Amino acid sequence: MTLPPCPICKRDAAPNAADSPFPFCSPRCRMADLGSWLDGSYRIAGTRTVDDDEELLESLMAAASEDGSS
Amino acid sequence: MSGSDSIQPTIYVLTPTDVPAATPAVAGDYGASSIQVLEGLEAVRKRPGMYIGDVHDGTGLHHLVWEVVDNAVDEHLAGHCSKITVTAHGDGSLTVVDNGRGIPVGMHEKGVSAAEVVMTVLHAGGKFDNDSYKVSAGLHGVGVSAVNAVSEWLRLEIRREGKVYQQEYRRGAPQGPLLAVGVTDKTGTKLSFKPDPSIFSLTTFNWDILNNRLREISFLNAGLLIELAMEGEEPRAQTYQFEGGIREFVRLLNKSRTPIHDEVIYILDERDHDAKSKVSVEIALQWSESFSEQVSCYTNNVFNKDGGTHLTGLRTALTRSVNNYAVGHKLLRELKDAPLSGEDIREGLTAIVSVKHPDPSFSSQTKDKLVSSDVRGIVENIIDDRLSTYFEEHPAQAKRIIEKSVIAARAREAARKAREQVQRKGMLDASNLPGKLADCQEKNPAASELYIVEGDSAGGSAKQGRDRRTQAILPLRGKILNVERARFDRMLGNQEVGTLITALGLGVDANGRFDIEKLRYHHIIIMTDADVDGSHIRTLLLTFFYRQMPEAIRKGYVYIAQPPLYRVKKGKREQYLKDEDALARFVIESGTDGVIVQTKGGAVPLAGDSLRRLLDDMTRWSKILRGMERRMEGAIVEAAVRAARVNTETLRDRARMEAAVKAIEAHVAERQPDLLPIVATLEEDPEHSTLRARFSTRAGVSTKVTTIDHDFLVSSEHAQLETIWQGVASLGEPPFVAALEDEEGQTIGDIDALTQWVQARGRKGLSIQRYKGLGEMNPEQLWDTTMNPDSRVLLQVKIDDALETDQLFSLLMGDEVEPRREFIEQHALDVKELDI
Repeated sequence: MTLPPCPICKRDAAPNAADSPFPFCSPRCRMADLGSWLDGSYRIAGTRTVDDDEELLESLMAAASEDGSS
Repeated sequence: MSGSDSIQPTIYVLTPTDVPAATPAVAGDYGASSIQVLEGLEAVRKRPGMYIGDVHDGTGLHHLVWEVVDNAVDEHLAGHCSKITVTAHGDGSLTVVDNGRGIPVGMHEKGVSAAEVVMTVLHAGGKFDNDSYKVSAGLHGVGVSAVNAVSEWLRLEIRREGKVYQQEYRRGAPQGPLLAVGVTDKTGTKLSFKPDPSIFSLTTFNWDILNNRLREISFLNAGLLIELAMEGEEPRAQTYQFEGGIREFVRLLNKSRTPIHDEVIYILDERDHDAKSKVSVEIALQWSESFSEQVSCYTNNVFNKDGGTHLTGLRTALTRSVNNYAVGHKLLRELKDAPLSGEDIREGLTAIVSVKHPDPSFSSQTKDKLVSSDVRGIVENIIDDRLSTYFEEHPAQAKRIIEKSVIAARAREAARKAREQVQRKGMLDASNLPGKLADCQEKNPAASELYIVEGDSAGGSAKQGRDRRTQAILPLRGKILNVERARFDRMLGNQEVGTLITALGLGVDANGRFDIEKLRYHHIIIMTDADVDGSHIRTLLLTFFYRQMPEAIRKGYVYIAQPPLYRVKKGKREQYLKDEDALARFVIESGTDGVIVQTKGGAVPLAGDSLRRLLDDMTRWSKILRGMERRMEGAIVEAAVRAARVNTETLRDRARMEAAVKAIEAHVAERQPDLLPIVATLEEDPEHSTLRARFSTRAGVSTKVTTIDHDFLVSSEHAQLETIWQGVASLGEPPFVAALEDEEGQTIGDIDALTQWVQARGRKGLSIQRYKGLGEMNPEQLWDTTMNPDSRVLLQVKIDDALETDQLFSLLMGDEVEPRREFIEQHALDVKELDI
């Protein structure tokens, strides 16, 4: 199986083994990734249209009520 | 040369007007005047370590070679020498030949030749002929006379002004005056010497030392040809000539690395030192994907291992130039416009800085560090000027270099934050566990489970429903971020991630690696709602585990809970069903219970498993059509497979295609008249040398175009539909007749009617509750369906699943909405399946 590239810098990832920085190329890129988790920069982009999407509407309302309460 | 001056004895200052005398000195002149000179050399012989370095470990021995070679390089710097040959002989002696001007042979006032002065007076070499040697390698301080002093013998041969001169020394003492022995049209100096074994305990020249330094000299002096040969039992030879100079040096250093820009950045410039002389600065730079910085500094060809003012100048100006460019071109947005640090910019930098200075100062005699203060400003000035120009002219390279620096900056900042946050005192203390965590009583990780539950209300149910001895609950809430109007991104906030890490009990080592040994639970169970939000949170969590704790996945510690999506009740029978497929199967099962089906002419009656398989196939049929519905009208596809039986052969025959089109139109008109009018066209498909049919359904109203062509007929969807339909057709001609055991048969109709009949029968008296979220289940239900270790189903996450999740995550995250939307539209079905 060919490994996908390092998620941070896109160069070849280290081998998939216990003592390797897999799936990154290096400890450095793993740290960069951890930093992004810790400062909350990772997110999943929502869909642009909300018309028929019941769930999105719900989350919209949830977000609104959250904003209101804080 | 501040450092070396302290040990300098009397020097003879030679004037440049020392014109060569036609008549060389005769042997008789050698007498009293030499004695004083030899006293100087005697000092070198007595304390050689002070002048030339360690005589036991080879340092001093090779130092002798550099003293001689440096003289030749000085000739090159002055523009008079293009070739240097170094030959180590089998008897322990060594010869250096250059094609420079030759050491001056004119008579010195004391009655000896200028050459003899050079060979017998300490420090004479560097001061010699100062005007033409604008820049001197500065040598290693003592001059070639020191080489003479510690040599068992030394032979000098000079070609200059049409003549060949020779002189020989033994342990520093001339064996006669410099004599003209012949005529020549060449110029240059040839110097052979044999280090005195009574002084050196190590007398063998080392190939690698000679080779490396000579190669370095060759790089530092573009175009200079250097030949090295070693005679003896294993003769070796090497030739160096680098027209590209230090550019090629950098390329060589980066040979095993991957440069991020092809061209080595090269700067050569000079600034005035004083009225008569200049300081020249030569710099070659290239960034590679490596993480280390390798910058080597030279002053007058001498390596300065501790850098100095040229290195400081380079670093300051590099930081400034790169930042100026980056700010000017808005390349630092990712860092919220904070400037790049020098360290980040220099990550992956390979550089050579070579300064040629008429009068350099060093911190020590070994020239490890350049201290000439003017150099810093000169280097800065040249880089500011030239590098900015380079960046402006090569924006692609500049961008790559800056992007790399930005990643380096982010990585460093992230590492700092991560350590700070995770290693904060007491954070890993069990008594300091996050308040949201409802921990279990069990302390043995192998027997402990952590449920990561989405949302607070579900968390509440899970806390009440769990087995508190072994099951811990951590409610996590995905944040919803309003990015633009009508676009809501989901994320895990920093607190959520921090809480998760703390709850798992993970420490972070210096490399940012989580210590899997400290993991507090060997079952990490992700339990999220079966909606978009839930699948996004699950994707985020799996991506986090895959990236930051692949070991946990590899060891099989990560699971996905399978909460039911439906609760169904029929009569007294109550059941939880995981998803729509399970519901469909349940309906078919109860709809076919006790039923026997047969076609009129069909030989074999269908019942039980065989009947269910038929209906499962029909469920799959509908699902395939639904999966294609964005691209193709289901009714047309259905008609093409069922009625027209179109295949790749049909496409080659116009008459058959026309018949097929009619058959399709008729089939659709009969079964789904709402799709009318249909406009069908036949056209050429030149890529496959076939025909293709285009059907516009609901023509003129909300038209949808369905193409029946080669690509469709070789697709996997078509193959599946075809297989299903062959199975159905083999059952015989409809109508189907269904009978309950011991009852009269009931004529139902075609396969679709049969499907509907079974559906209706299956749903009769059925109550279905769809859980929109875990929160709708009460604690007992949650325990029964999802958490009870005796009855629950967990999906164990494998590294391959996680990898797909990571790819999905990469696709779903971030701002690149357009490619993401396209992808999802094209692969609507795929993405659903990836929804682990």
